[in-house]
Amino acid sequence: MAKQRMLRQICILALLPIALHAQQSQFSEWKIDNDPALTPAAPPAWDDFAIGSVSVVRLPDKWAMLYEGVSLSEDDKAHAFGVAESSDGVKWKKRSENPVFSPATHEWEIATAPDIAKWQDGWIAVYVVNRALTFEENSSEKVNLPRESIWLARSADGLNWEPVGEIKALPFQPTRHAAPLPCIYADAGALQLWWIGESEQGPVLLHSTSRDGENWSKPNPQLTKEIDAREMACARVRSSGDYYILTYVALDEKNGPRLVIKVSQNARTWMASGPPEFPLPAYFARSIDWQQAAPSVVFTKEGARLFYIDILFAKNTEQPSPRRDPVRGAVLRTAFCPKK
Amino acid sequence: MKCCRLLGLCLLLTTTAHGQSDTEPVPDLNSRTADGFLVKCYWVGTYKCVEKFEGQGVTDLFGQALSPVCGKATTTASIIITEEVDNSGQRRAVVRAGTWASKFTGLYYWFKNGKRVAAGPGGSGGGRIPTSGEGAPTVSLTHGPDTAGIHLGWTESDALAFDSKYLPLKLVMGGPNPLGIGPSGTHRPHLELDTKEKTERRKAHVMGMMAIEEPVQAGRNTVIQQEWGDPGSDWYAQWTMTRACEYGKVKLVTPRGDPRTAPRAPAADPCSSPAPATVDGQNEFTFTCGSPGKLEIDFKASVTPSSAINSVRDRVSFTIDPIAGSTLQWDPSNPNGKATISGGFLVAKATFTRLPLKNDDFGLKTVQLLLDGKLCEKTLVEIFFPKFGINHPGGVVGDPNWFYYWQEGQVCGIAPTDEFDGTKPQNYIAYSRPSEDSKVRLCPPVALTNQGPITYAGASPWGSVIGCGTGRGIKKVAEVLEHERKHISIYQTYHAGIVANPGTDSDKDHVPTANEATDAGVKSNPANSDTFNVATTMSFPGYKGYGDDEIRCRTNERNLTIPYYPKKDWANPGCQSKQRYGPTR
Repeated sequence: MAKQRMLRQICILALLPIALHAQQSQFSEWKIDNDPALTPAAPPAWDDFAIGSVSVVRLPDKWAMLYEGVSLSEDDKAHAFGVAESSDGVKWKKRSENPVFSPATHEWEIATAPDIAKWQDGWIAVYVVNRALTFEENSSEKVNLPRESIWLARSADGLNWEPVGEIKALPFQPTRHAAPLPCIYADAGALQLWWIGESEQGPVLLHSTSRDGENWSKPNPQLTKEIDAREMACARVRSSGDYYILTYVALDEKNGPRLVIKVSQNARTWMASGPPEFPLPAYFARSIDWQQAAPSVVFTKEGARLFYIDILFAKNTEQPSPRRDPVRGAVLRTAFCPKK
Repeated sequence: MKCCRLLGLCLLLTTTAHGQSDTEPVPDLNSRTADGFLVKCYWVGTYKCVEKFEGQGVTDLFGQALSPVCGKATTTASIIITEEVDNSGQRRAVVRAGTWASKFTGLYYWFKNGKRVAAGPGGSGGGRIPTSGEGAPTVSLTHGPDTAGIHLGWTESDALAFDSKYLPLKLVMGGPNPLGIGPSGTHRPHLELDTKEKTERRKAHVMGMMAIEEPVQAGRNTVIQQEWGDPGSDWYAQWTMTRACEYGKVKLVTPRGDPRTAPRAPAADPCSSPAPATVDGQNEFTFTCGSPGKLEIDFKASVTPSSAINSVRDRVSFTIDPIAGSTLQWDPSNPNGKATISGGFLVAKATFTRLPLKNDDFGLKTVQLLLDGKLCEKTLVEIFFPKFGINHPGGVVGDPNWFYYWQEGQVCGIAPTDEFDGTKPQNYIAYSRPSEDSKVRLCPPVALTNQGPITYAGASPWGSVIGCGTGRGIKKVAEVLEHERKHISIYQTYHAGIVANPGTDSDKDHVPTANEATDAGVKSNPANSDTFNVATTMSFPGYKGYGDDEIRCRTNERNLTIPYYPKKDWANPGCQSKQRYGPTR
């Protein structure tokens, strides 16, 4: 009996790569849509310079996203969040109530990188608040303040948001290549928070849970090199039935940054699955600051739809870099990978 | 053919030394220069650069002595360029005027041992930008039928430099070691901060910008926005360049910007007298505390070129949305919002008298800048009431504005029957009289900050309970209402039964014995009226007799069911004002 069980397990394990390969080959190639999904508004507007980052969800009757809008004027650069909706994930319309959430409470705060999830009867969002260069560090206390903090916000209807508070009990330290960009979803009555951080052994994928959004479990780390030999950034984890789906940006020195999708049944053993890797614009690898725009992937029965930020450079250079070359804004692009 | 047509359309205009002297006024749009060129357009640019310098130096003592001075350099600049054409069609671009300012601040040394030490005052400088010669930018423009481009070249130079003072480091032999860099003791060198300032010449960090084939729309300015780096990193720069080709282009100075994302208002008590003066760009305005309350708005617009101001004055006006229940009056010199000139700007003053009756009549209003009756520009402002004033037009005279409007506007759960009581001692937050009615009486401190969380410890095995909310402003009001309504609910639920059968509440704490294990999720001792020592914890002996009633009200504050709406709060300070108080929007 034990021998038969072992034989069955060997057969299953042997077939697993085939099954996954079969699943992978169920998807065709990525095709980028010609027109951007979302563009900045005509100035002057609260989002007249760039679309900063997005979190996209698919609801029973529509698609919705919370997006970061950036305005640039001779006075300052300001970030806030707005809502856009779509019937098909391709053509999007901004809500007239925008901006729906302006979390920054000081001129030197930059609110960015929102990620949203349905929670209880409403919505919950996690977002990052960065400290801008204009912050006056006129005391040693201020000098030692962390540059980024992670916050939660809640909304009953997705349009009226209120900050819940800063998540202080968890460590959010950037790695050499990745800023802390937590993602959030609700599963089995608990909030699940995932992010990439630093540990003594190297970069890790961290996971913490909470039943109330206030008290978080001690993070469970996994070295990113166990998931991918390449440097990882912008991790997004979602649960789908019996599986966990991990999307992230792999910083491949030879082939450039790529959007990778992997699945796992136990949230530890991650296998490449689904659509092929998507080559992202080269500047994703250039500067940790511009990785503050994690791509968002939504799966449908027809295939996978990817949303990513495309920076617009003022000059056509071969390998543009946001640090060196002038940026004239950013748009949201979308690509689709159909199932065969 | 196609090639020739393209060349004909994309004429490249270059000037490297074409500037005007500092004393010449900038020529008007559509005017002729002395050498026969017609000024077709202005290019008006603003530049900002912030750079942080940080470094800890190398480890060894002599390396530490060479630690660079850390600090932050901020540079701003503005520039006006004219795009001109002569009768033969030859075009040129001329740098007409500009200013720059730069400062190096927050100087410190950062040593390998982690110590940070202030390193001197730094410095600042500024002035006019040279329009020719050293330090002058170079500019070339391109244009097509519906595109325009600019290449502005600019490099650091001694012409845009300033002195910065810093304290150098010095090696000292023997004696105490105040910085802890290097060993202490006789004949041992260590590092100290020199007390004599040194001066270094710093160049302002300026850079050019380039834009090609920017789309141009008839009748509208072309706005080019570019940035480098990231304001969240250690370096950030931005250029905003506007091409204006219409005569006498006007632009709003006050109000300006979206008050929801970039609020601007004076940092002052709205009840101060005289009322705080309008600041440039202000987009949040608050009624005064006088009776009747007044709201003064000083509108301001700029004209490009500034020399055209006289010719456009009589054509410019401002408008603002009405505030229901408040009377709008324009200054006598600005009938119907018509602009006058003051200090080189187009200005007008409007005064609203009397606060509106309804909470919803505060908030977002649209301001428009009109030229010849046509819309030039519009922006939003937010209108607030002074939180602690008492000059609302309805309700009970003497009630604070926050009470009146938060009740009228259903902002945080104040019922129509609830009342304000300002006669109680200062420590009274709110109270109810369940034996008389279901009203809650709110007292002044309820609009401030709640005192929680507080741990109330009971004797073993009852454990401890955490009570009291942490809200500010409208959220505290909601928490306190939750608290008082629980008192009322306990009375209404249990009192009649206890009166009929006193034995059901043996410890006489208003909660029947049968309910002490479960009511409000608290498990209290049916033989102790104050299981969790609320009286001792709050230093109020009166709670001794009904502490188990009181603790349930305090825990309910932390399980808030009464909704509150930050987006309906138009108090200043409040949830949406620049001086924030309360849950944010």
